[in-house]
Amino acid sequence: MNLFILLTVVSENVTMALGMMGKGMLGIFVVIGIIAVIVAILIRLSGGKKDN
Amino acid sequence: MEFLWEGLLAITWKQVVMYVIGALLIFLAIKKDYEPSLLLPMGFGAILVNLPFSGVLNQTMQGVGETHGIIQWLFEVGIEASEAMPLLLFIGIGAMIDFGPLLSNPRMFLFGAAAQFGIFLTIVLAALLGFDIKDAASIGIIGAADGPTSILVSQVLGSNFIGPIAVAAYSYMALVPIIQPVAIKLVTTKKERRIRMPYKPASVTKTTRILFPIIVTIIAGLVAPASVSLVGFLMFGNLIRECGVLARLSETAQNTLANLITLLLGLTISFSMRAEQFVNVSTLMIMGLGLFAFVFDTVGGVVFAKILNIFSKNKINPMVGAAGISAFPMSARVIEKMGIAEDNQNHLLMHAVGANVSGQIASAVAGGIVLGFFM
Repeated sequence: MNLFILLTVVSENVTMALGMMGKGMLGIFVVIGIIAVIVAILIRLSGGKKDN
Repeated sequence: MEFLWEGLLAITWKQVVMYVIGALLIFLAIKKDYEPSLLLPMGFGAILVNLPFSGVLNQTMQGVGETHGIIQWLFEVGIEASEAMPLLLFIGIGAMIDFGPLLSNPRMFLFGAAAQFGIFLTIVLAALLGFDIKDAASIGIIGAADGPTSILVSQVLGSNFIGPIAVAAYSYMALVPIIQPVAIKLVTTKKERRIRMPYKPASVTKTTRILFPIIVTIIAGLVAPASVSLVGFLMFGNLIRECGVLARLSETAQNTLANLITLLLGLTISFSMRAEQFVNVSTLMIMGLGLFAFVFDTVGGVVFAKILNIFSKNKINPMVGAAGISAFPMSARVIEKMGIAEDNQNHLLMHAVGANVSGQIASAVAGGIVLGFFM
């Protein structure tokens, strides 16, 4: 019975961890992707100027 | 005369193990130059907190009551109560980083994201091994390759394994020059490692450099609110650096603040290296899982670069993807060295630095996203 409970808890944790993996990687790519696009636009808008 | 022997007789075998671990960390710091600024204070602290009736910890004395120990106090105030120490260190780190190579080549941003893969795969493996989900998440964050992030996330999640997690994070960061070449060679061919990448950076205006930390903070804050403290402090440090009117503050953040916090952080973390907490099978498992996280971060970055190459006209050397882990600047140096070893005209350093600093941002975002799952 104890083993069954342990396996159930582990299985729940693994399911949650797999969910975290999917959502987590998606979240990171969304955040970093948006930043990358904005930076690319800023660089394009500045048109090769360099004021520093 | 009994009081002379009281301490000696009170030593347990677990404490002896901690003295050996402390001595090993000091040895690695001094002889091997492995993250000495952190491993040396941690090693010495490991000895301090494991002396019987140690005065650096709170003790209850007969007729006096509770006395306060400095390391316990530092831990309670600087980490437990507010996570102030790792966060303040982020201001210094932000002030040290030049995001120029990344801004001039925005494609490199993606590798910072891809190389966080090891974090999440390790969380799954830790859960499979039977760790509680919060502990599994804390262990996975070792893969952020970023000590302050690992400490902060494990503290916020109330993990019982802050000590082993911090030791693993800093040890493997120091071992990046050994871990990454092995992992990269496992998943690349010689031909791929010889791919040349001409460096043609776009010019970056001062306005872009100033806007960048503000934009990153706002976007990270809106998408992953829990990352605001980590990303925000990192970007605040960078804004001080780039604004051009706070040179003194920038210098203070880069040197005085970062050095002071680093000095205290190692000693403070040693509070979680008390023998009764540290010496157990879980610690060994955490060290193994930390290595797994670093290896799969590297593999994640490399494989992502290979996938991009299927669709891209300008091929990317997949080794650059491995620099997306946050261990800055060791990882970028490793990639440059490996590139030159394959072809002495193949300089990948600036590309790798771009991916590497992207990893700094992505690892802080990853920390925030992991925290967000429990909010």
